Amino acid sequence: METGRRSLLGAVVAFGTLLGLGWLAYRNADDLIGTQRWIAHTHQVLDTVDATVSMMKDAEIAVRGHLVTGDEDLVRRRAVNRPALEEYLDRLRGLVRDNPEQQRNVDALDLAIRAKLAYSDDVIDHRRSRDIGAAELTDRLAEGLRRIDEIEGLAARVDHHERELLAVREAAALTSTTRTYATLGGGTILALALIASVLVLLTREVKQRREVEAQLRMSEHRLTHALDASQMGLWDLDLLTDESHRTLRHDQIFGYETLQPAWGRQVFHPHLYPDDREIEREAFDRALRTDEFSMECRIIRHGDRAIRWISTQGKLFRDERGEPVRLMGSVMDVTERKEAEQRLQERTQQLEAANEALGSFTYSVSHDLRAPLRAIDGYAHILVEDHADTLDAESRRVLGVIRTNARQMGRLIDDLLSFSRLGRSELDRATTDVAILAHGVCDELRRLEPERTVSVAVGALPTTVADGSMLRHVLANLIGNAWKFTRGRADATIEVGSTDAGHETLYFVKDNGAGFDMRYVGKLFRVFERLHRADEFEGTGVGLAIVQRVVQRHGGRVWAESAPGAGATFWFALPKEKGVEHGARQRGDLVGRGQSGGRGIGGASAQEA
Amino acid sequence: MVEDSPADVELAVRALKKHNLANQLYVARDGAEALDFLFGPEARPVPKMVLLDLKLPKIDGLEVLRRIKSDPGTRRVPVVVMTSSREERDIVESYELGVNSYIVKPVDFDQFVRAVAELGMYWLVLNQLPSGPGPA
Repeated sequence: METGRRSLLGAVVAFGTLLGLGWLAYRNADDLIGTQRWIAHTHQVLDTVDATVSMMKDAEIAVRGHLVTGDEDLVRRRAVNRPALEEYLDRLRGLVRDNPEQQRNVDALDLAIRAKLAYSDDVIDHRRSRDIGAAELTDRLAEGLRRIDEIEGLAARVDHHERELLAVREAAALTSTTRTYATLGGGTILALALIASVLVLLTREVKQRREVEAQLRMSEHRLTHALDASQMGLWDLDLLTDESHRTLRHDQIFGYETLQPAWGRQVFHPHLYPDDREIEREAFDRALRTDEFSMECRIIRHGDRAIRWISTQGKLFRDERGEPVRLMGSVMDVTERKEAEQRLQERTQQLEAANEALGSFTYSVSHDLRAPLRAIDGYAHILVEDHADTLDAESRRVLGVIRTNARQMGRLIDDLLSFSRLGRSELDRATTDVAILAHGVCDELRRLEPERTVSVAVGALPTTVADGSMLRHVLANLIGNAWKFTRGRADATIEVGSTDAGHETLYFVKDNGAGFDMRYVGKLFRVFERLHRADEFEGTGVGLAIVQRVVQRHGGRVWAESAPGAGATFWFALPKEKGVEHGARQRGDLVGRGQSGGRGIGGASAQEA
Repeated sequence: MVEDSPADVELAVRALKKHNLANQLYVARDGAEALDFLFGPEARPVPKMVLLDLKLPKIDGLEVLRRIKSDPGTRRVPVVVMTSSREERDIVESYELGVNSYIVKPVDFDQFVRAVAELGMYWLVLNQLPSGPGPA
């Protein structure tokens, strides 16, 4: 832009300079021609004066001859020259009309000539009427010569003056010529320089323009490709005329192979799926209010008459009075996305229904499966209590087995319900003091088995953001396991601690109990998998599966290190940032939020509000 | 006692008897019977305590609880929900309705007996209630 203005300015200056130069050259040439004309004029005056004087001299010679000889022929010859003389004098007067001084000089010359001619006429008359004496003749001849001299003097004055003028005019002519050359030379150089700089500027501008054009083409190219890649069509609608500019993709979305000659709301309407007319009207009304246009609706495609979903976004433009004049935006065929959304919604509904069913199922399990177990245990108990006298040892042993198994199944159901609930219920995250949870678990274990002496060391445990009641299950299972598997040892030791690992905190529960074979570590966290026989250590095989599920739902991980007889260390890592829930997360919360479980009578939940 | 399972009834009665707490026990086999006992035409004394199962035929335990706690004549009666359900929503709902205790029935009979006995001792013997049914 800047260069453009500079080259335009340069061109204007060059043009002006050339114009001025032309004018100056014309002026100088005009001057020169005028001067030359004046010089020619001067020469004309000089010639005329010269001719006049010589004519007078000729006449004088004729008169003198006549005086001496009385030859009438000479007088006639003189008379013949008179009209020519008159003409010369006339011309001379004409030539000096512009110069008063020369006029006076010429007048004086004219007067002297006429006086001389009159005198000569008088002398000739006199000679004819009588003879002239020698003395008178000499006088007359002398007088004639004197008058001729006077005429020559006057002519010389005219001549002299004219020559002075000639000198002035020739000097003026020289100056004028010099000036003309200078003007022409300097002006030409200046003009050439200006034209050259304009050319340079123009070249530069052309180059810049080419670069800009290349950039423009490139960005257009990119835009086209981006639009192609995104399958996005563009449209630009004139709201006053209902005419539009579109990209080919726009019309292709509506089922046309080529750009249609005309497109506007009137053309769009027949494509609009009838049920979505209201959507379109609302979208336009909203655009008129907010200047933002956004609509998802169905269209009937030209050609195959397929119903397709489109998504279109745009912006409203107004004129200086605030009247809407133009709507511009993009359009995409989003049928696949819409269908996917629909499928997803259906799946979600199915999933919700399945969860609902699962909820009722677990509810039934919780309620109905436990009742018969209680009866089995209860009635076996009654049998032992009320009929002890009639039962032998074997009968009592069998009844004991029945009761043990009934209770075991009760625990299994309880653990399964916990596992299910901890996987289903929504996380209720809050800053949780892990140390308080750990101490609570240990206190409860001591209360349940006061006869055991276990050395428990709970180290510094940083707080974390987690679902407190769920995290309590993790600690209850890990510390509970450590407690259980150290049963055989007199010096049972449990250590609970943590280390910082950058983006996550690692917590561990370490014991010096039975341990396990690392070959089976892969089975450790699976439901119902046990690495010890029931007659060694009781258990349902659900506890560690619960641990893993809870930790994973908090975005953490869990692992274990051990060797048979060398104790075990269980680790779980929790991210320091708010953990991401892994795995499928359900929307319908069947269990209700808040503190779940709550079966521990002595265990304090360290959940902060 | 509102309980549909005869086995549970028998076990509970046994537990209460063991601790001499079952001298005046009335058993309703479903929610309708319970409401009939409490609010029916036959004038009966207001019970000192209600042991209520939740999953009941006809009218469920939560509805019975709601009726007890919304009637001025019975709302001061201690209601202990004793059920197999440890579902959170049952627990929350019960407390919303004003239950006095919520006990999950243990499978283990010994624990069951202990729980029933402790409940009876607490609500019938130790706990002090205001005398009379309270203002209407």
